[in-house]
Amino acid sequence: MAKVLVIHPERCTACRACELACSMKHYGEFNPSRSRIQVNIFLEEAIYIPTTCTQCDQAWCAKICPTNAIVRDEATMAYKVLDDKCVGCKMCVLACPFGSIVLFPEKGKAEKCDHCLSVDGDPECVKFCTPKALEYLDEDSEVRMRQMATALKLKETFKEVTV
Amino acid sequence: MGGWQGQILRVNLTRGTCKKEKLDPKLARAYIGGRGLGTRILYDEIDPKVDPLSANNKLILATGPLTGTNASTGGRYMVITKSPLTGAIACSNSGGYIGPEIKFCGYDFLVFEGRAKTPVYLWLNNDKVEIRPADKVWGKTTHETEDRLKAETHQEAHVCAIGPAGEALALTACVMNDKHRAAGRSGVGAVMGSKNLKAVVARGTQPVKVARPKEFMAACLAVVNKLKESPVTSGGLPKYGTPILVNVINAHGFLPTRNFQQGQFEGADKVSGETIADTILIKNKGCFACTIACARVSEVKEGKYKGAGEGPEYESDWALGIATGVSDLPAVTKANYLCNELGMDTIEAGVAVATAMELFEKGHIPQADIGRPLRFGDADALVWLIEEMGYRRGFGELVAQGGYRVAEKYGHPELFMGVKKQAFPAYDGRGAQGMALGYATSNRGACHLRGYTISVEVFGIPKKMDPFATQGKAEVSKLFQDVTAFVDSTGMCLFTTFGIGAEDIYPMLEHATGAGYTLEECLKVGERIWNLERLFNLKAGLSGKDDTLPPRILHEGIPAGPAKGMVGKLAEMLPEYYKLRGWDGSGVPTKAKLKELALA
Amino acid sequence: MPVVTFLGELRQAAGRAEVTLEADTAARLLAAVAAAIGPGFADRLWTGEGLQPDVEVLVNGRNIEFLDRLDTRLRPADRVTIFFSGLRGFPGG
Repeated sequence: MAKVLVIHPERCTACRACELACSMKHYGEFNPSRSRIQVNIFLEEAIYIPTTCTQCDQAWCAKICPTNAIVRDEATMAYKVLDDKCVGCKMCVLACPFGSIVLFPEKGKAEKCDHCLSVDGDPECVKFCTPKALEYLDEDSEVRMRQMATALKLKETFKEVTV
Repeated sequence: MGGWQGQILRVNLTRGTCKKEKLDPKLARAYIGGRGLGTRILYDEIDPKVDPLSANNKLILATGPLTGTNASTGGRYMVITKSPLTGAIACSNSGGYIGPEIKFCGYDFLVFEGRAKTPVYLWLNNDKVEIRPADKVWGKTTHETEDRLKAETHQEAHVCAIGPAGEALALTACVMNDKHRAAGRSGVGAVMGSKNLKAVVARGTQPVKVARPKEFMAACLAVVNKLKESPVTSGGLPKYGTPILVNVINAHGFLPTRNFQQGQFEGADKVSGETIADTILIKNKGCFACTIACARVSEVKEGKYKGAGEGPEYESDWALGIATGVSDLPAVTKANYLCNELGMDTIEAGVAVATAMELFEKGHIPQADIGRPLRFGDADALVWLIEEMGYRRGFGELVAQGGYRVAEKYGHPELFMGVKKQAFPAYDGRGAQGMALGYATSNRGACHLRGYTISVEVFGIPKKMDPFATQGKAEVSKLFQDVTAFVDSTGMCLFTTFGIGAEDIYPMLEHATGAGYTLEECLKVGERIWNLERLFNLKAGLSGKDDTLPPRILHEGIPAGPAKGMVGKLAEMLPEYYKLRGWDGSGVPTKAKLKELALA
Repeated sequence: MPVVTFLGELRQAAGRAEVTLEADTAARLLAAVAAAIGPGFADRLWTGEGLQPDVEVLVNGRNIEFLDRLDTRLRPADRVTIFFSGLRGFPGG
């Protein structure tokens, strides 16, 4: 089943526990600057927006990679980087319009959010997100939920119009 | 050892030098970090008799071993120094993001010595350190300072800074970070101002490592899940924040009203957590690594008190509103925003205004000295005076020194409501006897965060105790004081103890440090810290005589309401408390106790 | 008749801040709250036999724990306050 990491910015409290959990899971240390998910905090406007790889259907990073090091997981449809194939050419970094893939100099490899597929396939950031601003859901259920949310809004509008 | 970065940065502002030093692992083990270790360093390095605003005092910014980790609320830092307000030890604790950022720059502690000739700020750019001129931001609010210094350094940097109040050495001055978070109490902002240090700016990308990552994460996740289940940390606190307490304490009849002249406020519901949630609240926010998110992002959308920011929290709401008899929520909120921007402790500032109001109403302060009437309940006067205080203008110059100095100047020190010259927080000790004892014995002066017996006296946690009774309160006070000293030192927020206990915190500390702590030892460390703070105070010239309460609390009964007729029965509790502490009759730790705690 | 004030989440759940009810003991008052506001709300307050562990009831500002618990007598002018406590401690505000 294709999975999707759903982000609800309106629920985010800017605690950055996701950044800590991500860096620990992938590097064994707490280092938000290395986290593959980043919370963008706009203090003045009180708006907090977590951003990470959206796992594009037509992923530019994967398409441009000269060594085919970025591959899609058949089950979850998320992309991961194969370290043994990545040569650190940074083409993917240039190609990604969202800044969701980066190169870490000491390793010389591209790194991106792979829904923790390279570890155990259980996204660590979601586990530590208390306000549920991050959820890991089946893609079709998420799409269905959004359809339902839209329908509910329409229902309220109809009620106002018809009553 | 894990958790710690193993490094202290010593900044000599007189000479303009910065030196990296190794953290002593034995000392770190014995005092954990933050409040405990910071106090030890201060105790070892300064003469407690030093003039707090002289170059000989030191200012320590301290983190704990859990600061910067996934331990829920592991984002605290503490400002430790000798207080110019009380003359005693000061340790003020704050959240936000600056504490972890200091650690990501590679330091556990920043120790500031001496005094810069001209205003400066410290720029921690990872492991590169620079003392930079701050004349462009001197005189600016904490918010403007943060914006300008970020533009000058790095947009993702975090900042702690003093406002105009700290620059003017106001004894109510605090250190603000991330705009809305405060290391509030005991006038720590004035010490920073006396050193001509406007701000610390940090941006770091270095890791914090723990000794046993797998076990540590499991312990963290267990705590996160426990906090999710607790109705307070998952429901009440995020929804209403701390001001949920306004109506609760008012119903009990010990919500200190109009400078402690009454125990109930008729306008309480107008400034309650429920009303805040219904009117000015935009959303709740968390500090770094916090799974509770009790902060209130708020906005007063229109009217003369229009503004936006964070707050009010319960204590600020009480001090600026209820203590001053002001029930106009937009005005109280505006006063709170002003305190944050000008860099003043809301509790000390609010009680100072309340003190001045009582002195004025009783005819002890001539109107000519103030320049206008200053009556309880006057919202305009409150907002006006807070701003005057922040800039130390006119009558505000004196009031910015806190309620004690105002009451003393006009010949009525007995009308100051506090202990060791520090103002009471938002519970009248006459109605909650444990708080009366806690205020009298707190090492940093009157404080609710040094042993919160309201837990047993109002919320029945872990057991119910009658707030009016004195029996058993000495024991509870001592236990809570020790546990609090432990929790503070780890780098976690005291608010986690809404949902978890020391037995949940200790595994995280142990797996982070790998130091071989036991739960029992952690509580012992708490007791060691409490006694060390006491030793500092004794050397500074304080004594058991300072463990007392104002005459109003000791002798005048609360005039009406549920706690009618109650006084603070300190004499019934203090001797037992000293005994339980292993102190002699005058409040001095015995040799045996000091030996037991490895302090002799 | 005693006036009951709900605080915090209970106020939201009850949909009102206050309700005036006829009752001469704390236990009867809680039963009357159930009748007035609804059984679902009452279940959050008590088990039928005793109070839920995180519910605090004050009569004139005194916790009924220090009066006669659910047998506490109520007089017509009494003020009753009901709120949730935490399951563990409250460290401060």
